[in-house]
Order: sequence, then C-alpha cells, then structure tokens
Amino acid sequence: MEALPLRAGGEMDTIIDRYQNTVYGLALARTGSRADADDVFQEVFLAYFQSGKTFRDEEHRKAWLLRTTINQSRRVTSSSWWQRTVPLSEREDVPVQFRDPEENEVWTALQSLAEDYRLPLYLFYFQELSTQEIAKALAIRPGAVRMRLTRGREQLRKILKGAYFDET
Amino acid sequence: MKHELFSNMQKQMAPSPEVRAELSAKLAQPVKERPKAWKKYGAIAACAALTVALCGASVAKDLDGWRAFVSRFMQTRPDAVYREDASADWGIVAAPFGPDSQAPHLHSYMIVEDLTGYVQENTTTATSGEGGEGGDRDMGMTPEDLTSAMLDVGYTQGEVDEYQSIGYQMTWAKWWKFVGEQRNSEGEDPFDLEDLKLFSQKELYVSTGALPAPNTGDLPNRDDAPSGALPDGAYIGDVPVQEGAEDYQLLMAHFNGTYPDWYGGAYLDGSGRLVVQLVEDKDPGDKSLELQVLDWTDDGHVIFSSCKYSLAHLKGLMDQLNALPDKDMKCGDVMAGWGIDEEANRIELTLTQVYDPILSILAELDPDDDAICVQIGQRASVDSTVKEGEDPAVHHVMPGGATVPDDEDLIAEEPRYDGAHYDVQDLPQQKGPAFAVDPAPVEDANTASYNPGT
Repeated sequence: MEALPLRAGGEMDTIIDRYQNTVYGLALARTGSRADADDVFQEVFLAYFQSGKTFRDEEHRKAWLLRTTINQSRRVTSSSWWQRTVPLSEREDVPVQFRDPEENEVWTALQSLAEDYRLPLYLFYFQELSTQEIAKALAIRPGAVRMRLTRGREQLRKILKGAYFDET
Repeated sequence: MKHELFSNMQKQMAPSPEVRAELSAKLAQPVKERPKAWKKYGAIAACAALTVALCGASVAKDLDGWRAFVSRFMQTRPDAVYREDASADWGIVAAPFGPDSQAPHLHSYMIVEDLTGYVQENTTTATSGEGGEGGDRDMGMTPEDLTSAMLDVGYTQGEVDEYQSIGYQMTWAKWWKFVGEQRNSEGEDPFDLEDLKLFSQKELYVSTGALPAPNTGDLPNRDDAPSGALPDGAYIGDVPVQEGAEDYQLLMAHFNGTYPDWYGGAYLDGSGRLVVQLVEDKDPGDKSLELQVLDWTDDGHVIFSSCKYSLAHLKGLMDQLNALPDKDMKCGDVMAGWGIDEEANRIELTLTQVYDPILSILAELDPDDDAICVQIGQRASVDSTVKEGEDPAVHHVMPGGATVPDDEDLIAEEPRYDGAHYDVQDLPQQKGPAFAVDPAPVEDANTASYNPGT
C-alpha cells in the first residue's frame, strides 16, 4: 500500500479513493439511507481536509475517519429536521437496494437490528475490523464489542435462518 | 461466514460519481470560516456570571476570617500593602524579601519565597501537591499564625501545643480548607484535634504522593476513622489510595521505563484515584489512548486529564538540568533542588538566589516559559552548606512524630492480606526505615530531586 502523508489535507484524491467505501458504507449502515450517507460522506472528508491533523500512522487516520463518520451520522439522524420531516417509513430511498435478492435480505435483516448491534456486526463482517479496532471506533471496550457481536448474531440467526454470521 | 457475499455488498456501498464530483468541487473551494455560535457563547457567559455570583456569596461568609488573617499577616509583613479590592488578587500586595528583592523578574514563574519560611518540596513521584488550593500562592503558616488560628476556632492551648509538636507544615490554604470542611460537617464538635490530625495526614499523603504508612500507630482507633483503621491504633491506609497506586504500577509496568509521547505523567488525586495526563495534541474524539490505558490497568478507576508536555520531554529537560552543575559550577551553587511535578506538568526548580546566567539557560530550555517553574528559596536539606540560623526547608514528620517513609519502603512493607485480616504483627520488625528518625540526615531522602553535589 502506498505511503500517504500523515498530515491531513494533502493527497486528498488518493485518501478519498482509499477510504471512501469505508466511510460511505459505515454511514449507510448507520443512517440506512443513501441520501444521508452522501451527506455524511462529504462532511467527513471536508472535516478531514479542514482539520489539519497530523496522524501517528495509517491506523490512526482510519480510526479518526471511522469515529468522525459515526459522529456525523449521529448528527444527521438526530437533527430535529430529520426526525420531524422524514419518518423512516416514508423515505423514498428506503430500503437500500443491492443487486442480488440474497444481499437485500441480509441487509434488511441487519438494518432491523438496534444500532448497538448493527454497527459492530457491520464493522466486523463487512469491513473486517478486529474487535480492538471496533472498540476504538465506537469508543467502547473490546469486551462490550464481543458481547454485542454475540447478541447481534443471535438475533440475525433467528431472522435469517441461515449461517450468514458465524463466529469464525 | 459468507465472505464473498459481504465483499460484494461492500463494493456496492460506494458513493455515486456525482457525489464524489460534488465533494471534489467543495474541496477545491476556499475554506469558509465556521459561523460563530453566539448563542452558545452567551449561554456560557451567563453560566459563568451565575457561578461567580454564587462563589462571591460563599466567599463573603468567610470574610471575617479573611480579615483576621490579613491583620495578622500585616503584623508580620509591615512592608506589605493591603487593598480591600477583590479584583486585586485577594487584596494583598507583598513586597519580596531579601537582598535580591529589587532584582527584575527575568522568568515569569519566579517566586521569591519568605526566607524564614519553607521551600515547597519538589517530588518526582506521582503527585505534587497543592491539590488545587492555589498552588504557588499558598503560604506556609508560621507557628504563631497556626497558634492564633487554632485558638480562634476554639482549640485549647494544650491542643495547640500537641499539634505543634507533630511538626506538620500547615499552609493557609490547607487551613481554610480544613476550617471550611469542618464547618460544613454535621458533628457536634467540628474542631476536634483528632480531625485536624487526620486532615493533616491525608494532606501529607496527597502532597508527597506517598502511600499511607502501614501500622504506624499514628492515628487513634476511632469509631469514625476512615477505612483502613485497625484496632490497637494500627493503620493500613486509605484503600482508594492503594487502588490508585496499583493502577499506577500496572501502567508503569507497560511503559517499562520508556514513556510514549502522548503520556504526560500521572498522579493520585485527593480521593486516591489515578489521574493519567494525556498530551493535549490529540483528537478529543479519539478515545483509543484512554481505552488503551484502561486495558493496561485492568479497567481500573482511572481519570484522564490533558496536559501540554509529555513526561518524556520533561525528563529530557531534567537530564539537561542534571548536567548543568557539572558544566557550570556557579549554576550548581545556586541550584538548590529540582524535580518533575507531574500533576502541574512542569519541572520545579529552586534557586538559592537570582543568577542571570542560569535564567538565560532556562529561557533557552523552556522557550514557552511554562515547563520550568523557578522559585527562590532555601536548600531542601540540612547539610554543611546551610547557613547558620537557617531552618531546614522541609520537615517530613508525620502526625505522631515518625518520619515520612519513602514510597519504596511502603510498597515493600505492605501488610499482607490473606482474605480475612491484615498481617500487621510482623510489620514493626520488617519496617525499620519507616520508623527510623534520623536526627541529622546528610540529605533529604524524600527529595528525590536533591542533588548532593550542589
């Protein structure tokens, strides 16, 4: 992997290419809406560009982006405008559509979970982060991450009736 | 697990080209300044005004006590000027003492201490000390001050004499803290001598960073004694302090002598919890370091605080200070003691007199003028260089008359706990150093920063 400058602001195109799916996917998992994920995606990289931060290493940069994505997503979904005027059941772009019916089924099941379980599962299975990395991104302890993964898997097992999310 | 399924789904979770192009366009625009949150600032200002008003009301209650203190202070310091003006830093403007009193302040942290008073000890242990009581402004009480203050609140002359014999160096800030605590207590006799002894001992633990002395027998066996008081006057110390010390040891075990750049030091707060200082050059939303420290301390009760300098940086400065006496003999002559105060996140250096060349060197070492706090005072030990008639700078005597033991002694001599009771009977034989009263120490063993070569 190409070494990128650790100070925010430089090589923006390369940075966005490398992390856009990470940021956008997490925003989509958190908000459940492509329109909101679009907003979050832009806000996160604008914040990154303007922050002027210097990161210790690539892992630090990734953790910062994940954390900022979660914060921006929370800001979007907790705004009074979002809550008053866009009820989840009436959103035109819900549900997010995938190409394969099986993918849609998995996504719908994942979205039906509470956020506390949904985000650890998404980060673990889709982004393949370790429990330590998830703990840093969600600002919880690794033990709590493992507990949420276990409970989330239990719930998905009942909904999907298949071994999509196992422990290996 | 269906890796391929998840991978395919992840690939579809990408922003559209339009969104990406929109972002690129926004990034190309000049950065706009964020609008100022005037409402937020207004609310903060209102809260601050309310707090000041409430504090003012509280301070007014102690105004009589303050005026009594001022009148006594003015008797001992005839060159001081008193202005009854709350905005003038409690109203007292005191002229410095000594032959160097007219010397210009070349360092903003320069404090000229009372030559008949005591120099605050510098420590390299986990804490320093004034516990938020006003830090550099805190003045030591002379025996006369203490006598007068104790008699004012109702202590008898006998109790005053008994307390004075302990030798604890009370300061004005601590005295008012004690008075405030006792006045707010629900007891029938708020100014009990044992309470004052207990308070003094706790303050000593906090200010020296030392763990409580095991089985010193200093504290009486009282029903309202804190946790840790054992029958027959034995005392094993505050349990919270021990927990904080254990967290500290776990933390140190992970550092293994090499401190990372983000670590600014650690100390025990007044309740015995470990406070870990993190260098403030980190993202406030990034909790990875806090989680890392919690992992290392087995999820201990750790509090986090931010600071400017890393401990590694301060230790680097300490190395340079340590080398200074060898490079310049005159500098060595005026350097009385120095050490790292991890709570204040700075080095505290005591000079015996103002010496311009060393101040110039310090200005180079500490360009921001906040990493090295320079004080003028006496040497922190009794040795051949102390002038006749000078009082030793630090009296390390605990309530009860025993000398304050070193941290290492205390940790090594921790009473064994077998789940049912503490093994306190063997301690007197094991713990020689903690009880040894050295009549004329060559150097102050508790001042780790003391340099015998000076």
